[in-house]
Amino acid sequence: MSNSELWQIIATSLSVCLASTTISAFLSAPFSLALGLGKGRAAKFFRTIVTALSNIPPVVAGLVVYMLVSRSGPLSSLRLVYTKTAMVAAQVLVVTPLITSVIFPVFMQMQNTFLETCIGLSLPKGKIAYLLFRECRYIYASAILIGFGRAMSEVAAVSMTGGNIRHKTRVLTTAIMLSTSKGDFKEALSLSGVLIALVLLVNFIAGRIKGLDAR
Amino acid sequence: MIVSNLKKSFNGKLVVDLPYLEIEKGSVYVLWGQNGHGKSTFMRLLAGIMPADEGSIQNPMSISYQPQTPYIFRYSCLGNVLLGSKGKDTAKAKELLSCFGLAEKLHTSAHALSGGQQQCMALARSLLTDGDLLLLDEPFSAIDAIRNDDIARFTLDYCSKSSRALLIVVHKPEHLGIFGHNRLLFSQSGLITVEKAS
Repeated sequence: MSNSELWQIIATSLSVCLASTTISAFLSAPFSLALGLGKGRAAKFFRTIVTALSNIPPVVAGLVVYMLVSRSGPLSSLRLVYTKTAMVAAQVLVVTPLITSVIFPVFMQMQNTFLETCIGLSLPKGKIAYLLFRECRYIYASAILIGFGRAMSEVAAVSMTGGNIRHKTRVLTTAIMLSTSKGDFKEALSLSGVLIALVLLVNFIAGRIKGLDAR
Repeated sequence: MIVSNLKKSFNGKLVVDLPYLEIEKGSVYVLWGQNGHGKSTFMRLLAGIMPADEGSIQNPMSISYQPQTPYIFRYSCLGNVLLGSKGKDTAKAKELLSCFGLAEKLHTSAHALSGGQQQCMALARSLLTDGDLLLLDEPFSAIDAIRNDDIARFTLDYCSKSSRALLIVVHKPEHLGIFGHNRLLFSQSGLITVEKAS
C-alpha cells in the first residue's frame, strides 16, 4: 500500500467519523434533555431503551441502513448504497445513543438543585437549556469524543454500508480486515498501529476534557 | 397570595397541611420546625415547583425562590449574582456583594469560594431578583457565626425597603427575634399552624 493510499484511507476514516459524530452530537442534545429532565413512565421507558441502544451492535445499525438504501429498500432512489453518506448514517445510529446515554444521567443528577435554582430565579426555558449545556460542556465534549472513538473503531457498519471500495469508501478498519483476509499481516498491523494511535489520542483528549470538569 | 386547604402527601404520609394563609405585600413569615417536617416541601409548593395534592394557591405575586442547596453556576461570583437580575444591574450586584464581604471576589470563580461565601453569593443573587415574594430556604446555614445575625438583619432590611414579602426557613432561635413574630409552625403531623404578631 502506497503512502498516498494510506493517507487517503485515514482521510476517509476521519471525514466519515467526524460527520457522523457531529450529527450525533446535535441529535443527542434534545434527546438528552428530554430523557434527563423528563418525568414519568415514558421517560423511564425511553431511558432504558437508549441505554440498551448505546451498546447496539454496529452490524445491526449497518444492516438497518443497508436495508433502507439497497436496491430493494424504500430509499433506493437516493442511490446511497456503498457511499460515505450511508456509512455516516449507519454510524449515527451507533453513536447517537452512546452520547445520549452518557449525557442524560448527568442531566438527571443536576435536575433538582439546578432546575429549582433556575425556576427560583425565574429564568426563561431557553436560558435554562443554555445554562444546562454550558454547565455540562466538558462532560458533553468528552461524550462526543467517546462517540468519535467508537465510530473510528467500529468495522461492521461501515463495511456493510460502504462496501470497502478502494479510493472511495475504504477506511482504516475495513482496510485492516482486507489485509488480514489477504494474509498480509504486516500491512494489517501497520494499519492497526495507526488506528490505535488515533483512538488513543481521542481518548486521551476526552480524558483531559473530562478532567477539566472536576476543576 | 392566598393559600387555602393546601395538602401534600408522600407515600400516604401527610407532610403539608395548611388550612389558610394570606401573605400580604411586605409581610415577613418565619418557617419554624424540625427537620423533615415539610418546610422545604411547602416552599416548593409555593414556588410552583411541586404540585399540591389538594387546595389552592391564588397568586398575583411574582415569586423568587432560593432552595436549601442553591446551584452554583460555572461563572464568576459577579456572573452568578447577575443571573438574578437577568444580567442587567451590575452596580447593584457589586453593592450587594460588597455588603456580604465579597467585594474582593467579584471576578473569582464561584466554585473557588468557600461554602459560606457561596451561600452569601446565592443570597445576593436571590435578593437581586425582582420577585414580590421571596422564599428563602435556610439561607444562613453555612454562614459563620460572627456575621450570621448581621446578614440576617441586612436581608430583612433589604426586603423591607423594597416592600417585598419574605418567607424564610431558619433554625437559629436568634433569628426568630430578628424576623419578627409572624410564624408558620411545622409539626410532625404535617399541620402548619399560623402564628401572627398581634
